[in-house]
Amino acid sequence: MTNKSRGYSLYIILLVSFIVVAFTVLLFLFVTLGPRVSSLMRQNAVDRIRETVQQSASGFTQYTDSLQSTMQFALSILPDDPEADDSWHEKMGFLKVSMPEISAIAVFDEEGTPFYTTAGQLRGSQMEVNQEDWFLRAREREGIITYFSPPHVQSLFDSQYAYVITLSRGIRYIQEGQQRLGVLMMDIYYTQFSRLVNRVKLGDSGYAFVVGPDDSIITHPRMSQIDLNLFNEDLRPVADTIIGLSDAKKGGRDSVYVIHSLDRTRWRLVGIAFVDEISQLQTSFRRMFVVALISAALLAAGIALVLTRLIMRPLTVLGATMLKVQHGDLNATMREGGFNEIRVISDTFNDMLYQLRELMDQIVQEQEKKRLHELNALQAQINPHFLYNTLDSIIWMEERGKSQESIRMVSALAKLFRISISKGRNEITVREELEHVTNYLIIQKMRFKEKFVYTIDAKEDALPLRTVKLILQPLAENVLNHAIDETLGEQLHLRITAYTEGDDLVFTVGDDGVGIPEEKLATLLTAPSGQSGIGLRNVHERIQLTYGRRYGLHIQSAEDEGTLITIRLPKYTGGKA
Amino acid sequence: MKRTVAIALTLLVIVALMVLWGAEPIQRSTVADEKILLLLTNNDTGWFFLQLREGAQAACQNQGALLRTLVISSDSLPAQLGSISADAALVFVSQEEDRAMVQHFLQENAIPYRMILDGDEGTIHMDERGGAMQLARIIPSNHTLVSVYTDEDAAVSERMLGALDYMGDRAPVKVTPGETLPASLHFARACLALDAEATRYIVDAKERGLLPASLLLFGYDTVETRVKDLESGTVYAMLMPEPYTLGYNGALASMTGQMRPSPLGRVITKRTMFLSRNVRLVFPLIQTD
Repeated sequence: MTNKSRGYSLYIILLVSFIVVAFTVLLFLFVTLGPRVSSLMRQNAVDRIRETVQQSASGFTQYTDSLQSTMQFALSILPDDPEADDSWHEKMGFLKVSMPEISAIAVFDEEGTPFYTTAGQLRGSQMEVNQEDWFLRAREREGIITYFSPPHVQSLFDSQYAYVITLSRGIRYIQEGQQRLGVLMMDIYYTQFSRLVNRVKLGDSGYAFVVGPDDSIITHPRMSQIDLNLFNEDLRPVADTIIGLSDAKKGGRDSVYVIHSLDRTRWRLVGIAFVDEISQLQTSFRRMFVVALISAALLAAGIALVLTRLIMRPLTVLGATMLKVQHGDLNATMREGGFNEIRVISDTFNDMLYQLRELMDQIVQEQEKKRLHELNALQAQINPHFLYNTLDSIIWMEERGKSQESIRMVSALAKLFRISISKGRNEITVREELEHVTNYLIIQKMRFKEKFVYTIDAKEDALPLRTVKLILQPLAENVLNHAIDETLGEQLHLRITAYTEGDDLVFTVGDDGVGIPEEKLATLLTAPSGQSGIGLRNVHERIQLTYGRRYGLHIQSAEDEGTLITIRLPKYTGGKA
Repeated sequence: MKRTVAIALTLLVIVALMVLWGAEPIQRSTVADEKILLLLTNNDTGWFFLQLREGAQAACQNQGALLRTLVISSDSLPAQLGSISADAALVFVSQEEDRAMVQHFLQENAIPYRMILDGDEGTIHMDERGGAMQLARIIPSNHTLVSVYTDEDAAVSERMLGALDYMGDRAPVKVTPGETLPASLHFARACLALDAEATRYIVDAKERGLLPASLLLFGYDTVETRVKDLESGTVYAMLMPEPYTLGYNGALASMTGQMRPSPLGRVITKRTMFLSRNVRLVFPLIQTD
């Protein structure tokens, strides 16, 4: 019985469940961890940029500190009254020579008149010097703080132009008994500062620059381009910021501004890094993360597939085996394998099948036994017509005074019965079987006279062998019943032989009658009971039930030539084969 | 079972390929990837060329390209051209024949290029007309103005056009060094010299006392004496060329086809000559980057 309503396949359900669970877990990880890790990496990258800027600022500050120290040293050289002696001029000159980054050193009185310069004569008038920004700023600070000017061309000195940053500081000196406020000036080559900043690299194209307190650019890697309006540095993101971080768009790219103050100078170092560059690692990580996710998903799918197959395979085999059993193959067995649970089911199923086979075999055997009994009983019965005809013949002989013939017939009949009974045995010797058929033929010969002749040839080695009884007589009876009627007066020759062949005992019953039509011959041993040939079928069935399917009758026949029936039995002399 | 193994193996291969792809290192540009811009010149000396090359260098750096310079000579030009390998070229060649040969070679070899050449459309050059207008604009309107020039070439013609608005119907006067000053100059309170030679001519005249010191001279770059002339006030204002910008614009145009506006030049006075933003123009050899 087949269940036509098919539900979802357990295989698909398991597979989909595994995959869904795996994907859900991975997706959860991706959604929760991905952005967090990504954000941490970006933060880390920004921190690194900030550290780089901080280090650069620190380096820059160290340099300005060293310049401060140089200024301090120059101050220490200066006497209280610079005009009193000029011995300090040599020391100042030595200081300038010993520091190549110094373009010039000069000391001015409060009117801007030089006490001393390392660069020779001034080009302009003293009125112009005291109007210079660096001069005024230095005096404003009253000698406490050193002023760092923006970069400019120093045009004070005759025949000398240098691009410098001027450091200036107020100095107190005594002139005509009064304390006055002059200015110490030291020009440092601009490149000393720009070099410090230009070497800062932030990512692939990030850079740093320095802005002054009024948001003017002090030094920039692209200073020339800025001066020539070929490049514009947007300073809005750094306006009013002394120190900190700022995000802005620069040239259409997201960028991070890191601002760090440079002590003493009031300048600020600004680092610009581009997000797409600093987040390269982040992008790489994101890609790796996606790859890992997809890989894990594919692996999970693969594992789910294999696992599902592993679970499902024994069940599929079990189902197939059950289907075979359903279709009648009771020899099908479930191979052991798979998980313990499946193995238990498999074992139980095999046991059940075994028991079923045993039961079926038992039933078949009982059926066969029963059938054999029936056939044997049937075979043992004497055909009433035969008995009536024989007795009628005996009476007829007695009436005619043929007592010798009648005695012979009665004797043959008695032997026929004796062998038929055989003390209830089902098997007799070949000799007895041949005797039995001989007696039958004697009786029939006396009845049919010259209508047929018969010969019985038996090999000596076949005679003591054993055979189921009463197998030749039905065959001889069948020949006489059919062949004599159909020979149309011609004498029928019946020949019975017995011999051994290999492990087999072979009987043949042949005649030269009209033969059996081909279509009848094909079904003679298989046709249902009730149709002609029942005697042959009974003999055939009895032999097969007794000795197995290998044995039985084999009929060869040709129309108008005759029929040869071969009976094949196992060759043995006692007990069951 | 075979199918399962095949599927599992396929998945593993896909995973392996994906992992390989994911582990691919971040590609960074290498020297081999850099484009090469070739700067061709027949004279690689002088501050003008040095600044021009510096500008081209800056543009190349911005574009991630490499600048190479080839100094050509008429004698070996064919051989030199044969060895050229570049993605783009910038031509700064003064000799016409050489320039034509270079141009022919570049066109034949489909190398994109730009020429630094006065006046021609599509070339990289100063905006002479705009520059002259800029210079003329600062001349006080109440000053009698005389405009002079020495030789009318393409650049000077452009400058004349630019200056005309400020000169009314008075045409520029041609002067010849060594010859007598035009009479009109003696009545002028301001003079616009439309080329460097004319500027030098007026400076000489002022220095020799042939013209009054109060004459305001607006001129073109005198190169060697520019600082002295400006600082002394002999030249009131001077229009400085921008070779750096020409190099920058030329390199950019050669590599990307992007044309920037031609530079006007910058008007420098005694008051502005030492300003940081003008340093590169007035003192071209001072390093500011």
